[in-house]
Amino acid sequence: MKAYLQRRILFSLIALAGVTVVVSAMLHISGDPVAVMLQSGIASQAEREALRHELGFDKPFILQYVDFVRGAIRGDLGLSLRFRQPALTIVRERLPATLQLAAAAMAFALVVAVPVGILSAARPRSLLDYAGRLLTLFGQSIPLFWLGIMLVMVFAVRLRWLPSAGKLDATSLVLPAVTLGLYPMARIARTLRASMFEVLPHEYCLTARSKGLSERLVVIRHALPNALLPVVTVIGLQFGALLGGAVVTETIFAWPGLGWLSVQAVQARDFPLVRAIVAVVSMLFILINLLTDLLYAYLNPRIRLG
Amino acid sequence: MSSVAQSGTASAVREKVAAGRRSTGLRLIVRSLARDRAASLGLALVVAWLAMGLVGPFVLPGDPNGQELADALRPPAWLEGGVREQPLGTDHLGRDMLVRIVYGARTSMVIGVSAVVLAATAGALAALFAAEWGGGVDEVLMRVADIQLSVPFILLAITVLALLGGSMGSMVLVLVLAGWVIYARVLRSELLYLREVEFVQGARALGASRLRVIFRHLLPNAAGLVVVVATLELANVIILEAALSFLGVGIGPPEVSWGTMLADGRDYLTTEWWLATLPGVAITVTILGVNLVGDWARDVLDPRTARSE
Repeated sequence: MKAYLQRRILFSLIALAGVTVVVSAMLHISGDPVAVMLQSGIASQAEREALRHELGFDKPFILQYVDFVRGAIRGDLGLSLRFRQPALTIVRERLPATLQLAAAAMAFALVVAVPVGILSAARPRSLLDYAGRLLTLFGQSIPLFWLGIMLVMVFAVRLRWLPSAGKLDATSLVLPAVTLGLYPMARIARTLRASMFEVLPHEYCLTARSKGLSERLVVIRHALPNALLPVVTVIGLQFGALLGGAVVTETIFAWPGLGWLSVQAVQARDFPLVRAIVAVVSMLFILINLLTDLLYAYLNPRIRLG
Repeated sequence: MSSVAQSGTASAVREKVAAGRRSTGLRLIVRSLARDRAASLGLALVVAWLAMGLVGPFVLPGDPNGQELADALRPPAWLEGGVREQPLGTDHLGRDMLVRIVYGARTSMVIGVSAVVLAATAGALAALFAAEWGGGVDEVLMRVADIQLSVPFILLAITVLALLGGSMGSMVLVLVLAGWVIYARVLRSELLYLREVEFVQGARALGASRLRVIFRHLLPNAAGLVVVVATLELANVIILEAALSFLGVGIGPPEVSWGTMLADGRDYLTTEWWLATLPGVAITVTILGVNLVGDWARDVLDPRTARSE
């Protein structure tokens, strides 16, 4: 187990390095960063050269990257060109909002997906089953950005029940969370349903039934724990995917998180900030994947004891 | 949506696939499709989308970029203020919505199909190299794939597109970069499995060259899997393209993209709702069709499902 952990961590660092190299390369070829910083203002060529030298932008790519890594270890992820502040500070300000959104979306997804998946599998071909399958089919097919816009139109503009944008109060979280969480809900429900189908015909369920246990007990106490295993993997994957979906969701709802920030940063050509965001989000992503794998290894007795 | 009681024809097809037969009986496949109502609906939707994209621009009169500001924000024909000449209304620049939706279908079709075909080819080649030559090549390839998967791709995508500029070509490139990984991974596992199956080992024992084994035995049997992954990925590709265009880094004028149309329509949600609703319906219906076909494909063509029965 320990060797596995070490390998995974080492590999995660390599992945992080790979990703930051790519973004750094893009920063390097994207043009003159000093030009972005000095958009307004009539700086002379000499002043631009001086600023470039001071910020280290005239060094060769490798050295710039080494500087970045050295800084990163110390907690300095570079300077945002647009905000003139340390990129890490800006990222830290916006990270909680994104995490909050992701957590709410996942909570919504699970609260809906688990009952839908179980009921669908426990009563196949019933009205409940078809309704559930329809819901998950649409949940998987509706594009995130359209769903968000439609929800805003119905609930914010027409009905005026919920706010249409921004992070003002608790109700602001509802629409973005539902938008972001619908697709994971659909995937989790489908996986759970399929997994339950695999599990329900097994002998131990038959045994439980013949012991006289109610169907509900059989499903919840015996079938469900075993069916949850592949679902755990899907949940982990979806949590990672949520970070990606947050980019679009936050943009639609003007949610002050990392996703929206990244779009703004790219549009403003503020590549150091983009690099910082990518680094932080990748780290989160890698962490989530690692935790998911560990959880799966722990839950699956075959891996744990084998 | 896999049905609990499998239809007779579906399992017959699966048996043939699992047995490694090269021709699974096209007729059996078609019959299985016709019997599955959901899949038939899906196929109808996909065909409609393809038809719109291929034929629509030639059949419809009208310029998707023809601005007519006097005509702007006209509602669809069935609402008050709408006219029959513009059945779906016009947008904020007076452009005909129906024409734009049809051209948008063409964009999503061209980009979607090219991205899927190219990504599948790239992924399949990578998987072949990894499975056949093993060792270092395999390790490197899989590490690259893992690295790429360790970041939410949309972040890289918007960065790359901002650099390259949003054109059809750069969009396809980004989508191929996003997509090749899953083909490579899935095919690699399947190829590694297939290599140990009897008929392949038999062929090798009989002296078949490596190339012959690959083309005559491995690839045809992996083809079903590629089709399954490709259909599911087509949906992802269409959504990703629309999302990137929506964010403003993707397709821009003079090309028409449903995603860009959605972005334009956002400002008019309060009164001119059709600007944002209609393209969204188009995307959703297309994705629905692709997903339905993909589900059926997975039930019938995926050798892994067949094996676990």
